[in-house]
Amino acid sequence: MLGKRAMLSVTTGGWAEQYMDRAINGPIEHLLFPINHGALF
Amino acid sequence: MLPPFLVHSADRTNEEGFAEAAVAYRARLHNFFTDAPLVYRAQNGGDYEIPSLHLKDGLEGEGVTPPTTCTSSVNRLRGLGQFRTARARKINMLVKKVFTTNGSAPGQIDEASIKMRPAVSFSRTLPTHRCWRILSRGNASGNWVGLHYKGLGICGNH
Repeated sequence: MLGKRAMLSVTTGGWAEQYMDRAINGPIEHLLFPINHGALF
Repeated sequence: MLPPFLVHSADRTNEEGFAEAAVAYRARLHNFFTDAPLVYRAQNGGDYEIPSLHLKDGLEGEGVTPPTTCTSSVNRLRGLGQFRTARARKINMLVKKVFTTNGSAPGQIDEASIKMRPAVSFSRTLPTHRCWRILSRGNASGNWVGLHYKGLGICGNH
């Protein structure tokens, strides 16, 4: 993937506030990290 | 790797919400090749220690890899861990007394007031994208800061 661009397009069932720091679902950055960093970076 | 395009509460959207999302999505796609990517670090780019692949001290930052919810102070302290086994990790997660603070208001962290208790160690083996969460509360004897590991309950001092 070196030199390539990727962007996840994601729909969620919760409000934005539920994907923040200390929110029930955890920050969206953490949820997507295995894909963004683990697979696509 | 670009920041994700997100549509929250997608199951409860309507025509209007769909139209808004469509406009926003078109804008993101329009700027796909010019938007700034997420600040991820190359494994061998010099930012990680070798071979532990832990971020070097002083390179923490908002919105950069590895993402954390910690202050930089706590992040640095995490590097002081000694225990590497799963059991030790659990113990670390359940550690109650970690920091003492003076003077920070409830709900706020005054980095300068965070003092480390030397006996407490943090595990180096904690996944870097999941981080200790800092909680603070005020009490009669001064304010304290406790830590909370995601999903494992609150660890405050008593």
